[in-house]
Amino acid sequence: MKKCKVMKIFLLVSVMLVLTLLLSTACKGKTSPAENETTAAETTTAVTEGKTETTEEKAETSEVKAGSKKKVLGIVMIDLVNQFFVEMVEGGNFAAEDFGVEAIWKSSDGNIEKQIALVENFIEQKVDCILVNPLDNDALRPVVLKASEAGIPTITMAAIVDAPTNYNTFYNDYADTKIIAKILANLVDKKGKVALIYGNKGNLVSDLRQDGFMDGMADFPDIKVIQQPSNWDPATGLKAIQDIMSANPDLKGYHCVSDAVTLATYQAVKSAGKTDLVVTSYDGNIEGSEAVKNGEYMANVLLGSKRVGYWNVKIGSQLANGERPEEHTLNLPTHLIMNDDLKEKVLEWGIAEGASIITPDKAIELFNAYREELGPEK
Amino acid sequence: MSAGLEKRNNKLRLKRQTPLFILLFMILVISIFNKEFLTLQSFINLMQQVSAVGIVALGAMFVLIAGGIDLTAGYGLAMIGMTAATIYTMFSEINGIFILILITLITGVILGLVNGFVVAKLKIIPFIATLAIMSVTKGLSLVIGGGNMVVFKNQQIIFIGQGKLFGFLPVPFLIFILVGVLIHLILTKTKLGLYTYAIGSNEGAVRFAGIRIVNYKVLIYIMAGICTGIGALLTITKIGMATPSMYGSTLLDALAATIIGGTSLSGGRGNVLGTIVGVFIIVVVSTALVYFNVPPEMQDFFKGMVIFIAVGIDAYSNKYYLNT
Repeated sequence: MKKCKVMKIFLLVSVMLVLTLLLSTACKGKTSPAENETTAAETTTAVTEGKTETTEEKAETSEVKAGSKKKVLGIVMIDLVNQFFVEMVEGGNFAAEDFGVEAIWKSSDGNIEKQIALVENFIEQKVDCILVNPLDNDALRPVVLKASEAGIPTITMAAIVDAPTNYNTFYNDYADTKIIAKILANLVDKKGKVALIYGNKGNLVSDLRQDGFMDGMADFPDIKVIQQPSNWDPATGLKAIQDIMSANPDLKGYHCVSDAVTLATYQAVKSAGKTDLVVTSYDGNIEGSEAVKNGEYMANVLLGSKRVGYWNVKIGSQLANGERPEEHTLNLPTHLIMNDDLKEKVLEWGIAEGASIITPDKAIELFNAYREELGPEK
Repeated sequence: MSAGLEKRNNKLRLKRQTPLFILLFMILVISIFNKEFLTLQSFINLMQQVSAVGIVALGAMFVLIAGGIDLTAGYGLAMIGMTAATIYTMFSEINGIFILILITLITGVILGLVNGFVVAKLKIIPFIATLAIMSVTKGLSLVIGGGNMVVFKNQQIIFIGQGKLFGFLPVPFLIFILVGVLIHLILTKTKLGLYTYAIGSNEGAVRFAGIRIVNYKVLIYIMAGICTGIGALLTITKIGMATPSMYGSTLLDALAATIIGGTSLSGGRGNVLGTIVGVFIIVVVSTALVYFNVPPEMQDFFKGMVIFIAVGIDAYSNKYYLNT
């Protein structure tokens, strides 16, 4: 009796599936001749490249082409939840406005396969430039080459992918964090326990900053580094530092890879009355710079998430308009933030060669002035 | 006959304490390995850390007892926090602390109302319905306030999440215990509580008894929504800001805590004390990993294993006590 019922449901589902399949192919058959006429040129390119595009995708392509004369940038982000990426979008949209392009933002949700698919979609839509925050450089290379074959310039943000029409943009995450690590080490007299609160393993930005920190600390054998992830979540970061502080009462300082998380962790530091800890941070948010100014943190790095978004979209719009810079690796100028007395010491220690050091006030000014700093000349 | 029944009841009572024994055992082990764990500060930390996730877990338990599930707790927490913080910044000239509290509660009620409506009225399976709404809340948390972080400067607000009474009792823990007592009273002394267990055990029977199930179900989801709201309030006041990424691992931790605490996934069973112990177990596990200096890469693995063992012991003892 029960078996019979299950069979019936199974049959019903399969019949429905077959019907849907038949219907969808029938619909395609009807519309495709008309589509083929309007997008004849595109069909030939598709054939020569040996692709099998569906009609819906082609319709989308013609829409993108016909709908706007503006150049279109397709941007594939790691995700759109993290504060840093959210602010990148904000800055990027200002750049799109200033440079007269249209920016389409997509989230990979931290998944490399989704990321590849999104880049492929942009190639098929024939956007004018593709920007991508790679989750995995090697895995992304084939699809970057594919874009290159299709004549679409690409930008891999904060990563190196070797392809003829690809540009790599860098923000000095690794180098700056390495200097920060050395500053922290010197401030704790080159011995004892320090902690690192990173983002999460496998996340490109987190990995770069973590590697920078550990390589900076490698010069100081008497320092023991305790590492904990925050998953970029302030509450998780706060719990991590609370536990580290209680498990290691002799902790002398810590570095945290993102201002949003550092800010939360500092609530725990204040609450536990351990304000003598040496704290360093990264990102250079307004709050982060203010904390340096009033002595809560010793140092910070002005990367400026909005600046990063603005700068990348600016370069994207230049590529979309046919400009081709000779140098394929481009660096966004970043600045170390610290008060003047520490700056003197850092110069004395000779650990910040080539880096720009600015005061917190200057950092706060630059944080929101990126449109003037990097924008088109008026 | 009656002596046998009493013996069985005693065993059942003992069985219900299994999670508590596991928790005490864990604390004992950590203390042996690292004496720093037996300091006042680490217990203050623990009390503060269990509060927000604990209140969310109590809400999750309420829904689970009624045979449903609420997956909106994690992203819902971020959404509520962002809404309250954004509205708070709009009224920056007046003392916004009451606005913040009020908005978290109201948004919580609305979230619960939507969940309850979709599940009870539209009769969509709770798992699917709240999964969809979870995605909606995730989207909303990014849209509200442009997804930008809001930082609180007002020290009164931080006091809710970071303050201590008499130098040792964290304010959030006090709120957690109050909510716990309240939910315990609702579950044991009110009609709503009675029907919550009844709906979870046998929904059809309750329906045949002529009780308006829809209203009670909506009310149950509203209870969970309020708990998520209070959880959001405690989280933003603890970290001193609101940001869309603050959902963290709240949802999974809360669900795991309720299940460790003896709440049945199929409904009809669960109690406040068990859930509180469950939350402590979840938090102590991740704390222990820091004390033992377990490499970060291995932490999720160990956390999963401990939860597995805790639930396993519980399931096994269940069988053992009921069969003898």
